[in-house]
Amino acid sequence: MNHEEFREKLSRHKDMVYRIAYTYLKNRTDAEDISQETFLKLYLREEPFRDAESEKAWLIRVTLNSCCNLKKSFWQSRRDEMPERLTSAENFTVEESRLYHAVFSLPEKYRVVIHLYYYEEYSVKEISEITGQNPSTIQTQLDRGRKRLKKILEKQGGFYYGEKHISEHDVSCQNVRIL
Amino acid sequence: MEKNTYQSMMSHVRMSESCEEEILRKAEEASVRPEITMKTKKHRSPVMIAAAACLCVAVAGTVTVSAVQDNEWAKGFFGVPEWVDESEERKEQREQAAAYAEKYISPINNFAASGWNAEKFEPVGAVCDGEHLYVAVRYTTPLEDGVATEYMWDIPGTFKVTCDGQSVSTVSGSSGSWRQDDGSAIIYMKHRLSEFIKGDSIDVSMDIVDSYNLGDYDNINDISEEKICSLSFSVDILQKSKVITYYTDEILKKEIQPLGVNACAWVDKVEVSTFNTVFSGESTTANRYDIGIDPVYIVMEDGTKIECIGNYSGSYGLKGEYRIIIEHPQPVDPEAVTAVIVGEHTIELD
Repeated sequence: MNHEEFREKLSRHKDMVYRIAYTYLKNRTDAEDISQETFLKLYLREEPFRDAESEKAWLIRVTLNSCCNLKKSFWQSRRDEMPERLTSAENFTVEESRLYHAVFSLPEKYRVVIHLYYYEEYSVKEISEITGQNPSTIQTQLDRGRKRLKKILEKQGGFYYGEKHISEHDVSCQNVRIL
Repeated sequence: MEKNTYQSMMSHVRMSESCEEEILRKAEEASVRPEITMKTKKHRSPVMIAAAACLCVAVAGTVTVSAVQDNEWAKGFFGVPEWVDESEERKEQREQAAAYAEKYISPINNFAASGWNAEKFEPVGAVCDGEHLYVAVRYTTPLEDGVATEYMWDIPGTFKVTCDGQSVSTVSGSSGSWRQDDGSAIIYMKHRLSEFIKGDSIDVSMDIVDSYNLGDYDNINDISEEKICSLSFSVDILQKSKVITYYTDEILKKEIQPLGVNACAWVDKVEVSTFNTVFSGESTTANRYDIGIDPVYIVMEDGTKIECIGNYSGSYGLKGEYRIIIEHPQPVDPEAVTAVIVGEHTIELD
């Protein structure tokens, strides 16, 4: 693709890719490396995408695969990551700050699914298609992630679960309110 | 969960401008830079980097613009003959170096010299692959009373390189001279540029300083004054060259005595090009890690081991990341390199 086209795609998807990498890896440096890797692959890809949604799904898949491979490397597997403090964290509200620490204390598989579900607003079925995992696996990860999150937030206290659209797979997500 | 809260929380996580700029820069570089072949160690999953096709070897231009008719002079880039008889092995290596260098040698264009004895300088040849700049110029020794006078040459840090009007700094460099049978000297200069140059050519300017007259150095009153001569020229940049990148999970370990400290450095990446091998990674020690890479050998597919003695430089980051550049004593075909031996460790490349 030409440079102008690439620049436009980068502008459109950069934060999405970065957020996914950051959610997975929990640190800015690695997330930037993976983002660069992903976009370089996009730039060098010759085959055009069917549509914008395909392109987005491809980017997510490549990002996740790259993160997974990075984590598999011997050096990475020996590192014990704490969630990095965001430089923009001073702009967090109290709820955001609690949620940030709660989410980033979850195992990565739960974090990623929660992110794709709540931020990118994909359905369980769509997430399973993107990640190549079974829909029931995705559902299980989502359920467990939410349960753990609930426990963490309960300990912290004062977080509110709101109402959410319930899909046919999402029967476990009811109106839950925690005070 | 309150979706809005999650979304508003994650909205604070954004790609930095510097990261975005770096991506654009790399994309632009990828569009002009040689395609890179990536290989991984055996028994490992393929590393996630954009794949590319095989590389092409650059086609050289004419060899020289000087009176030198063959490429004998090119041997000087890769080690001048010892004052005592060279070993046959070393002679053969330099023959191979000259033959291989012929593929890369370009003419020196727009050559100009000014200052003292400027008319004695003439261009010989150069090669620039965008990262390395190798230049050779000949100096015809002036005669005094029919006798050639020897001079020592200093080429100080006034070696200036520009490309498209922008100056480029050099990371490292070396120079030397090789006396020819006719009494002239070919001066060799080798520099590694601080950034990859993407243009068609680079402009070079330098000052050469005459240190002293060896003809009668016992007489301190006979030391000649420093003379300054300035040279300028341009060199075409090879548009395609080979770099092969390997991703590894190797680790180099070393005991540091007498503290009994185990130091180790991860080798994450090995890049092999014609002129050097670079490896980079991280060190787990808190301070700068001296990998102690002597000796280093490049192992070729025919089993030949090329020893790289002392020709390396390194950079180290605050977080333990490092990058070590090992200069080859002769140019090699990167695809024919099968392993790198670093001290007691062998890093297989396949």
